[in-house]
Amino acid sequence: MNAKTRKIIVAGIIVLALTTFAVNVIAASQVSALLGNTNAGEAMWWLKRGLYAEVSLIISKQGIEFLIQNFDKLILMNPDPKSVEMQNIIAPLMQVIMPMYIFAIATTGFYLLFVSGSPSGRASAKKMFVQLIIGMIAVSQSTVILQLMINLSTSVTSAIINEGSVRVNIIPESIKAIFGSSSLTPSTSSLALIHIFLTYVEIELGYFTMLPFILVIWGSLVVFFLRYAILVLWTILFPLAIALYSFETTKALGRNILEQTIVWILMQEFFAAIAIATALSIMQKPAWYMTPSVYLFNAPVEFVVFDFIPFMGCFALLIAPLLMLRIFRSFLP
Amino acid sequence: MKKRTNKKVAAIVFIALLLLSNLLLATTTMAAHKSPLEDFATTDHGEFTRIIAYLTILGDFLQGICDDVSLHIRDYIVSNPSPTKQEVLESTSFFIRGVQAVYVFAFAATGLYMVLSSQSPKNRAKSKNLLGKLIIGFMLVTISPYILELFYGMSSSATGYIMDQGDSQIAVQQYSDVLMKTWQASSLLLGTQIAVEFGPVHSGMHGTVIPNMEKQVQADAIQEYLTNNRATIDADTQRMAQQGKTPEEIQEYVDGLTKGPAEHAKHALHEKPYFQFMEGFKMAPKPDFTFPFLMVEMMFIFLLYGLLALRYIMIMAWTILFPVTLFFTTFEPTKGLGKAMVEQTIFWTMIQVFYAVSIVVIAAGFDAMPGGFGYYGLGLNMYVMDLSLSFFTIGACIMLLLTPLFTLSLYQRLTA
Repeated sequence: MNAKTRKIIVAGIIVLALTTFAVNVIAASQVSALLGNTNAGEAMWWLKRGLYAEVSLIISKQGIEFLIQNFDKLILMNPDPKSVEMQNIIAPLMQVIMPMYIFAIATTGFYLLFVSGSPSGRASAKKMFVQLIIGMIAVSQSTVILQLMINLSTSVTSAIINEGSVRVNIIPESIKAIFGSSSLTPSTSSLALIHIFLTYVEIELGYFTMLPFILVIWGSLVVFFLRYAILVLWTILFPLAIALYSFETTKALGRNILEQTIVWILMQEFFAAIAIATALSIMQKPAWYMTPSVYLFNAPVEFVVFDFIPFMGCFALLIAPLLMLRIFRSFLP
Repeated sequence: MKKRTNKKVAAIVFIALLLLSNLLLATTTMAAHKSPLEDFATTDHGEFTRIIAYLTILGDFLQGICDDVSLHIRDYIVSNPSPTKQEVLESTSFFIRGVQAVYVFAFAATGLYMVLSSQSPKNRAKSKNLLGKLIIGFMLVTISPYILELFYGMSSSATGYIMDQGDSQIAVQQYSDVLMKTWQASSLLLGTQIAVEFGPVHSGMHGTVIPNMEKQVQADAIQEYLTNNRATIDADTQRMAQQGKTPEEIQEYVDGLTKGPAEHAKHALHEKPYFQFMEGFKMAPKPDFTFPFLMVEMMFIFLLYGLLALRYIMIMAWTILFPVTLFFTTFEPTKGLGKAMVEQTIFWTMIQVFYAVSIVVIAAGFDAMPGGFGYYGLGLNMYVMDLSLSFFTIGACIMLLLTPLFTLSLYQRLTA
């Protein structure tokens, strides 16, 4: 039996199976079972699915209202280096670093005064002496320097966000419009309606419609709070970074930490630029651009419109840290 | 052409023969159980109805995507945001003003340096060089939106020109094929399972074969009992006839006697492993079975629309940051940073050219492909249905969707 014959037989079996049903349906005469099956167990089955769909929608859209009201504030969020909690952690670190500097300055001074080494050795010792004094001053004022950098970044970001007629809160508002209401009677053009329908078909299918909610809403919140958390870490390590940068042997490590601190502070401006770019894209693009619509059962009215621009704007916020860390590398001397 | 027509005719005749033979099969099984429509709608909470509704709506959804891609793919690839639009200029002007202020400060500082360090020719030359760079940088920053407008215009024109060299609808057709044929494969998979579950399994096995087996074993058990107890039963029936019992009462008495053995035989049959296997056999179609196809479809939709939308947003972001980019390239300490930002601006813009090249390559590739490869080639290939999804088609679509990655790897080599 060759491959061609095998294919014909397989196709024949499938067609046979399909036509069995078709012939039975045509010959059927009883339709009463289609109407009014009021079994309590049946009703409970549908109720459970509806409950799962509603609860899953509520959970996955948790935070959309918070995002709408606080999107601009989340971008401007920064830790306060001068807060009591931060100082409680930084102060012991300073108490370890400062004696190191004092010891280093004393050793270098002793070398300069009492050890008659080569002229080049004395020159490098003098250079190191100056660096150590500058480093010690910088470490003692590290909180002030960092506060200055953060305040400058916040001012610039605030100016970027508030400049012109563009509002960045239009982004979460557009996402809310895509996803629609969370109630069991959603608007006819919404991803929530598709989620409810798919959940009734099979609960696992509803995962596909829950994923955009979670990725965009939770992802945006996570990336803002992630930046805040990492900046808290670099704020605490800032005095140590300056100290490490001061000494030749640890200069590379200190430079890395300082670069990371600067990049994560400046990420705020990048977030603002992406948010403004997304808001501008939403405002000025044509209505049909990146907005595929669906016509169910050849109806004249479109059923669902999914707008990719606000969705990808939030996705761009998720990948912004990766992009910045890739672009801004090794920029300090 | 003649060969294909002959094959089509053969396929139609074959299907017609199957339908006729199926009609015979269906009429013999119909009487065995309740209405098929009744069964279909009420089985497992209307599962089959839900599955068919899901497949229908999914098909409409994918068709909507295919129609949108077919209609607007050129616009999605060719269009760029306009840096000189009012709203964009408002955002860009913030950076222009800020950078201009820094330039003014730099002018003043450089001028002061030239005046105060007039004794060193080297320092004077350095400061003159820097002053020249500052002037050029200041001018470029002031007209930066218009520079970008020109650059985007050139890129759009080049992209449009390249796309016009090939038929973009061929690439769109391959994309639509992947979406619609994976959907057809899902429909075939679930439809076949529903049909087999509903037809041979439900109607055939559970509706006919199993009841017939039960009837047969019961009949055999009754016959055996009657044969083994013939004398006793004959004596009893004769005595009942003499007592004036009606034939129906006598029959009822005999049926009562044979009921036990019949039930025992039926119970014994139900204990047999092969019977339990037959009784428990179900196709149980579930939409879960279409997950691989659904994931392919979602990935294809997300990759095409998502990357094009991401490109649009990133270009808009780099448009707003362009004055800062030019500023960073002016000064030596920040030149590396400025260079990286310029590379990003160019990269996100040039992606559209590579999309156009991919589309033209796909069109040319399918035109030049050896005959038959696109239709029958590799991949799923149903001889009597148009469900062939050639691996060439899948490869072409993946190439189109991963264009940004190819651009990135090529770009990294160029700028390394």
